[in-house]
Amino acid sequence: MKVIFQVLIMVIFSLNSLLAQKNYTLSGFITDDNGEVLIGATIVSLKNSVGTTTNQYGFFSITLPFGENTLIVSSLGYISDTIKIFVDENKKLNLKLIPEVKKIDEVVINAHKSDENIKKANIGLVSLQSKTIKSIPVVFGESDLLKSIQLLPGVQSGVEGMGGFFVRGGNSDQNLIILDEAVVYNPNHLFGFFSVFNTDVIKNVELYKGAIPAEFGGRLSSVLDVRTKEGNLEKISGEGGIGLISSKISIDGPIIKNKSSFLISGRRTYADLMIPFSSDSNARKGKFYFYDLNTKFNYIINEKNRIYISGYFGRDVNRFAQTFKINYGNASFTLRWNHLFSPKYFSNFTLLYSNYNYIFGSAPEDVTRFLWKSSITNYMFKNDHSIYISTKNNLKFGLQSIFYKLKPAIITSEIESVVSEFKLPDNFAFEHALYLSHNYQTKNFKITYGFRVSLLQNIGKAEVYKYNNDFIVVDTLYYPSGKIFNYYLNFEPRLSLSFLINEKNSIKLGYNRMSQNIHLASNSTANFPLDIWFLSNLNIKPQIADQISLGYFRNFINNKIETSIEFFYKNIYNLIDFKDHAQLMLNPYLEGEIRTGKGFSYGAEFFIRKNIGNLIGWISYSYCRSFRKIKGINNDKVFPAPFDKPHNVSVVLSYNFSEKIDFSTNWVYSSAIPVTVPVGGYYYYNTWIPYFSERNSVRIPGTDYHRLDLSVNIKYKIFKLNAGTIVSVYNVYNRHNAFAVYFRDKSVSKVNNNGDGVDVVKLYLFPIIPSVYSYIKF
Amino acid sequence: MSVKQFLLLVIVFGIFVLFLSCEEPINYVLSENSDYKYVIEGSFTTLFKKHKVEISLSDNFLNKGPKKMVQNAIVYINSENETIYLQEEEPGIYYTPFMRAIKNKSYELNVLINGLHIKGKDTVRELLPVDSIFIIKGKEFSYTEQKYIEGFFVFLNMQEKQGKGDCYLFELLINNKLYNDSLKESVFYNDEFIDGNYLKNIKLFFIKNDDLPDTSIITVRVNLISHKYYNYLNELLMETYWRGSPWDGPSANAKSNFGNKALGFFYTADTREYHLKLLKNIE
Repeated sequence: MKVIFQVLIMVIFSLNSLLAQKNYTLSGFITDDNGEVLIGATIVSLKNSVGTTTNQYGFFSITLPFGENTLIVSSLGYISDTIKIFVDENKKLNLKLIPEVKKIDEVVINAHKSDENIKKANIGLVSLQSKTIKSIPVVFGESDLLKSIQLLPGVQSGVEGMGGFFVRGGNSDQNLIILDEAVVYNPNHLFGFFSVFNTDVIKNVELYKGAIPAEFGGRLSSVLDVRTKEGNLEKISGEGGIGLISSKISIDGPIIKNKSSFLISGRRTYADLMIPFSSDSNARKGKFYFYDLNTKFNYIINEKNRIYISGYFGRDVNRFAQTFKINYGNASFTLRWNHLFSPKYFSNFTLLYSNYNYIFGSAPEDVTRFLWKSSITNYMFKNDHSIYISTKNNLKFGLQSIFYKLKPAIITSEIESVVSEFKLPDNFAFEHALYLSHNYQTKNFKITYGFRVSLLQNIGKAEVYKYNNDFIVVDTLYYPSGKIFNYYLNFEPRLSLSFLINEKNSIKLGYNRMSQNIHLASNSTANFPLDIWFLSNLNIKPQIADQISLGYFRNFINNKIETSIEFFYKNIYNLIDFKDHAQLMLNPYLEGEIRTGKGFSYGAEFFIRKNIGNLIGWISYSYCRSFRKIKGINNDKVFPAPFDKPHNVSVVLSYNFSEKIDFSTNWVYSSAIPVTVPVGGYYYYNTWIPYFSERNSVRIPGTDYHRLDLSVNIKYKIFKLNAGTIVSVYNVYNRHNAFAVYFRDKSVSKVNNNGDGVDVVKLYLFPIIPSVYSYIKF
Repeated sequence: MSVKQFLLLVIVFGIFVLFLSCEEPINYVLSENSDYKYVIEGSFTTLFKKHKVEISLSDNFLNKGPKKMVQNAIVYINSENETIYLQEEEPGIYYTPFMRAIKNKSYELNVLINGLHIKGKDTVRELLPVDSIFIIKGKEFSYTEQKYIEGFFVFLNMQEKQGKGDCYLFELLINNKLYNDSLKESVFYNDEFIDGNYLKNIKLFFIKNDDLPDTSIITVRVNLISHKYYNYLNELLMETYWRGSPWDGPSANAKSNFGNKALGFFYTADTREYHLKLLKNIE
């Protein structure tokens, strides 16, 4: 009997033990109080010291052992929540976080997850929220995403005021810019002075500068992942604003409360409304404006299924009196379906459409009247899967397939003109990719490793030119419709490692190989709306980049101050550049203008950020060099890339002075860009002509860039609604930053046209510019 | 200028009309370069005349001053069965005898100076005759003076030769003196968008009233030039008057047909002249 009792006790204890070791999965969505899903929110088990983060759809899955547990749920800008829970079965756990506001303020950033900087695995990833972007003063007082990311370490601007950006020595077309997963080919309005992103609808922005995850590909240098809000699931809300350049309004709300919501947002400039009042009859016939329209619909079908539909349409309209017109814009459409196969298995199916097109036409009565059209369209299917095997292990895999349709140029004349119809051959291709990555973590160590395989297939109908060694066309090959006549297969390993030294220190390492099959035909540092994209093919190999990065992260004063230092090195193979005086527009033999070679860049980024308190912001310094060696350019010698600016400093600060007033300031500095200067001159055709030596060999003293901006946000109520006015001053000390530098014969110079000789002239665009912007929220 | 370049120029110009761009001089001293290069500017056309080759030296860029002519060079033009020696009649300016180039023939300019032998080659292609040239009185808006200027437009009608690759250089002479005598006034096109079309009422030039005597002989010279020379003129403009926007490509030297040995260009052309008498004060 005694033995039986002892055996029974042993069995009971064993059973208890077994039960105690059994794990259960808690899964669900983390949202804010309006039902907006939170991306990158963290859920951590205090008992087990393990955690996870929400994915792009706010979904999390965490597997914990049986028993009592305490979870800390947190996200940037929200009040952390502590949840006590008894884990005894798989549970659905949908959680809400309340925004943390400082008094009545909603512009200031705070409540940053205290040690996220140390613990998160990704090196080279920067997240920005809409609140941050809106608090940064930019030209004309309009908040702007692309101008804001130019203030981050490792990101450089091109030309003053323009939207192009360069990441760790990579060209501007080497950045994958996606809006709700749809590719944006030209993210600029008004020739680059504004971006297409309406900051009122942005929810989250992530910029990957290095260690790019395997689910992303197609560009060498970075991924800018922009996600818009889904729409308030609780109540109708909105906001609007009026500025000097544009006005905007956004409305969102539930269609079915807590189940379905909509969002619609529009923005338009209105300077053209003043044109009819011009005294110049020619000017009165002009039109200049741009607009954006963002729409979104989402529907929670049930616990396991959600549908999202989003669309964007934007356009720039420019008509110059009776001379010519230039209209261009993007359109995109995304349909996504989230499906939960199980609490540990999340999947997403996406259909996407992206288009960029432009029309350039002359006056209809012109004897050389013409209409020039160009477009790039892609149709894409994506399927992504995440399996949360355990809290330490998760697996991601997926596939995507893109169909490209490029119509580089067609010129027609609807009525009699001396200009003939002209057409560049269309280009078609498929680009497929498969990826797989595994994430493993312990208390002090995290590793994400994986790979991406990309396949480009060029498809007919196509007309392909064969060139000799002198880039002269020697033959033309014709391929019928549907025929795959060329392919490129690339294997891209990815790696990200993080070692937690202690609660305040960590070291991170990252590596990625990226390939790029689509390229922009541009040889300047400023984006031009008529630039065209072209595909790799028989004559042009994909560009390939390897980047390695290493960083040390350290927090101070109880995580109130975050610091980091990162080093990187990047090698680019088959780097595309263009010969001297390349003809990139309307050129059927564009490939003959291309020269390929190698590029390399390296640098260090120092970053210090304060997220808590009345004064918040960051200071960054980066040193970055970028070089190229291209056969046929600069006598085959190494030369600096046109955007090579070694020193870059950004100071971005915001001070909450009171409940009603916030101050913000930026100060930026960057080295002068390298230019090609004349080493002599000569007369030809009665004109003084410059003679050059090495490309990009000189930085002209005094053309380095620096600027101070200030703004004050004055908050008040209008009919009990939150409102405010932002008064800002761009370029406070009126620095004449060079927009372009050139050498001009005095006889044609506007500057000093007396006498013979030559002037070195800089063109500057923005002197001191005050502006005002008023907003209201409801 | 091609239609393509015209389009680009219009865009760039329009953008800068839109924005109040401001200019400022920079006090920057370029490094002296004692490695001066020879500059050769020469032509040989089907007009019966003395054809000219000028040889000068380059100089330090910011010290634009008088041309430094190069004397005592040996200059000759080779074709398949003849050699034509040029005589230095003015300092640095060398002339052929009265003669003309032959259509569809190639000519190579040779310059021997200080132990250096510089060569440049070009080929004469055949030009179709122009149907008509006519002049109409009118006004043109001047963006530099911001007003309308009275003057005369010169128009052309011609059939463009079938087959791409034809490039035209138009020159205007008033009483035998070249009117568009600098690069910024040069008028040149290729046939990329107009190949084989009938070019009707194409405006070539505008002559300001103030530049005309009461009676003038207006000569329009039509040259069919090579594609290489057309590219050279384009590249010169890209480095001078067309430069100054953020969308410019990197600066580079215009590609001469002398290789690395000299700057400039030796071009050949099939050329025709058309003369009109203009009485300024008759309506």
